[in-house]
Amino acid sequence: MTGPTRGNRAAWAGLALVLVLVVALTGTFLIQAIRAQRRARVPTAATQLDRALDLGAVLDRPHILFRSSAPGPTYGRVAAVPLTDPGGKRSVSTMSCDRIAATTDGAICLAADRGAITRYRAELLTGRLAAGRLIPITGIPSRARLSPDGSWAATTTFISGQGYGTIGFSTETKIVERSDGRSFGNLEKTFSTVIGGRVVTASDLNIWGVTFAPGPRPNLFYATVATGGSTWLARGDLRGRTLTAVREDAECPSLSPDGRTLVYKKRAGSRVRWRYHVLDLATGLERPLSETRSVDDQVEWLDNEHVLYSLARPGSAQADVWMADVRSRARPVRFMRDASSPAVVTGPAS
Amino acid sequence: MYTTVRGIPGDAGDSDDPGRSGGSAGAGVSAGAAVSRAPTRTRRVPRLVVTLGLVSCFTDLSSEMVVAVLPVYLTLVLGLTPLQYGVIDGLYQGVTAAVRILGGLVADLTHRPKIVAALGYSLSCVCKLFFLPAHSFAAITTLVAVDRSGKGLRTAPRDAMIAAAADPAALGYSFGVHRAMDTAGALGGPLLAFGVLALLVNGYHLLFVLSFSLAAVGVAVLVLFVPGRPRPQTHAADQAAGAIEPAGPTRIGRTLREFVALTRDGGYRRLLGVGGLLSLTTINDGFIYLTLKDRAGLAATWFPLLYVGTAAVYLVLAIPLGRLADRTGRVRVFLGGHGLAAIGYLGLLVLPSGPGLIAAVLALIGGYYAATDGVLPALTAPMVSKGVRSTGIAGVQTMMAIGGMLSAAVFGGLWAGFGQRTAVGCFLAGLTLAIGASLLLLRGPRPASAAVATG
Repeated sequence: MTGPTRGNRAAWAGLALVLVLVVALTGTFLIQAIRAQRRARVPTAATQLDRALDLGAVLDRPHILFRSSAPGPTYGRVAAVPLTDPGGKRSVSTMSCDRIAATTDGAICLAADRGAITRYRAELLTGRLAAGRLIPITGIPSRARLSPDGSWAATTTFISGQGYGTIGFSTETKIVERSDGRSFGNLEKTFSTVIGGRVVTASDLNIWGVTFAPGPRPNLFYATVATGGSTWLARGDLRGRTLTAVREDAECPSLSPDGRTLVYKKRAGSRVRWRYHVLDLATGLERPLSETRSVDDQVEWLDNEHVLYSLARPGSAQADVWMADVRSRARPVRFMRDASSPAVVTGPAS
Repeated sequence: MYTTVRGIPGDAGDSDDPGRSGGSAGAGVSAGAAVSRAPTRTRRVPRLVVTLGLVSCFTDLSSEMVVAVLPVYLTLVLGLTPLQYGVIDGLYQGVTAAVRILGGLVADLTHRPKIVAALGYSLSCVCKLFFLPAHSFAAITTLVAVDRSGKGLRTAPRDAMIAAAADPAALGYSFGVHRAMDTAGALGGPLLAFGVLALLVNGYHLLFVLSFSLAAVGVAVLVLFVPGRPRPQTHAADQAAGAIEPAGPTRIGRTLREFVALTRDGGYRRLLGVGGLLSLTTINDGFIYLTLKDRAGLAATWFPLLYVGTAAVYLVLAIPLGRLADRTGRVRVFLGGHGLAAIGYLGLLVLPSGPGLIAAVLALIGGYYAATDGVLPALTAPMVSKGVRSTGIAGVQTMMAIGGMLSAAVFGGLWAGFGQRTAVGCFLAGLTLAIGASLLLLRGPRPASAAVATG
């Protein structure tokens, strides 16, 4: 680069080279992405498994509804397996959901309809997955729960602010009456949250991960509240519209069917790792679950002794559902392959 | 193209501003044209500024396309719960502030702003590729932090290069052009990302590679088309002597002496004070949008559009307000911009809820950015001696960044304790007082920018 002309020419040549390289690189990935998109439409062995059973027949018996992540055209669809053979043949529905929760007489599906602008929906369904009422939600689906008697539905979504310097997240958690869609609104706004005896009104207050008590039209529920970088397990009073923090460092609680045990995630000092812990509500004793990997899911109870949760397979977009015994140190076992968001339904769907 | 700079070693009069002479001709710069004195009347934007604008545009396209899809990618593709992100985010802001000062210092000590800037741009570029294998929360937050450190590192040296290249009477204009190009990239990034995902539902890997590619083009343009030595005259002896050692220590010693002088300079200290005061009393964007959302009953789905609206106004006004700053005084426009923000806060308090409120607030906040973000370095550069220009600019920008962090904490506290309206009201009062205090601080003994502006 001694003279203007030579320098110019060298610079332009250099730029041309860089352009050729990045176009080649991007092109390679573009071709790969198009191929992957095409491949996703081709049925795989996992797809055959997903399609092996008749949906109506599976729903007639106790079953587990879940989101299938089997590679192929059934990826992302709601599927069902008989409770007696969770690792076996399945039946897949035509519905795509990111989160699903269900009882015998109803279900809720949270979904992101991806595209140029991603749209989000929460849909109340019958137990047999017939379409029902839409609940207005904003933000990315995170948690869905129904009360065991099916009277309330709870949703948690993430809302993200976007800007170069900041990626801030906040939650929106809503509880609605399933029969008529009447809403308790966004709990952060409509409930008073009490931490350490004081009502919290901080702008960074977030509430997520609702779990309901058993029984008809339960008034009691648990949820996570967070402010100032700390999280609490909070006990909710639906009619009194209050949430009271009862224990620090506990997220995404899930109450056992008998209402005696809670399983939630604890950070225990780590910023980016969570472990499940089991709390006996009668004694107040807390101990870690046998699962030692970092977890994220809100657990689902299989029965009063076992919990189900999904874990991503390392380095892939596939997830499996695992099962752990809350009373023993036995290692968790893989319960279902290519599945997430399990919902245990203990009777025939109606 | 910028070899023209090397063609004017004899032109010692106007010291070390490289693109300044070359840039006065918009097209077909030749060594001959560069030798003639920079025609200050034409007020063209040097080609170097446009080149750096292009680099920023590509880099912002690259970064913003990733930022736009990150929430959905984290939650729905990787299945992570990103709620704790906010906490980590705050920590990184502190790191970025430290890196910013460091970038300025190293650029001044080595006299190589281009290399430091290139390092910053490269860091942001390369980290995009690592998004492909990153599947954990920790890995992704680290990558975002590296991206931001790159931004912190490059900003001050790059602004110093713009200041060195620009006609001193048209600094505001030059920064306006750069910021407009930068913002155009920031606006285009999300569009590009959503376009890719509209065609390919799971095209995230393609998206990261495309992001890397765009950033790489930006780095290539910087490395290949921006002259490496901004001071061919002053250090002609150094160049002749090559890498002979004795030149090093004296040069560093001189820079350090200038740096010490800068920290003692009353005008600069006042500017730091003004930066701190104003940023401390300015409401963080996120809070403005939250307030707007509550007041106007806006669904959170439209949240990203609030950023787009602000950026669009910024894009449109950056150049006109930069020129206005050159003509009527940069201090005036800088403080006027904060005045716009204050009017915006007043609007948040008194305007009736509705689309009018949203439009008015977004226009005022966009105007605030256009009148301050690029005008601030344009205002700082002439007050700082050339040897420590990067550090000087970095210092003021860091001050604003720290002020901003504190302001967010204070606003959050006021909101929690006394409610949204009281918090906005307090900041309106605070900002009004801060503007008044700044007028007093920057008036009188420091009419430099005003004097230049009348040229």
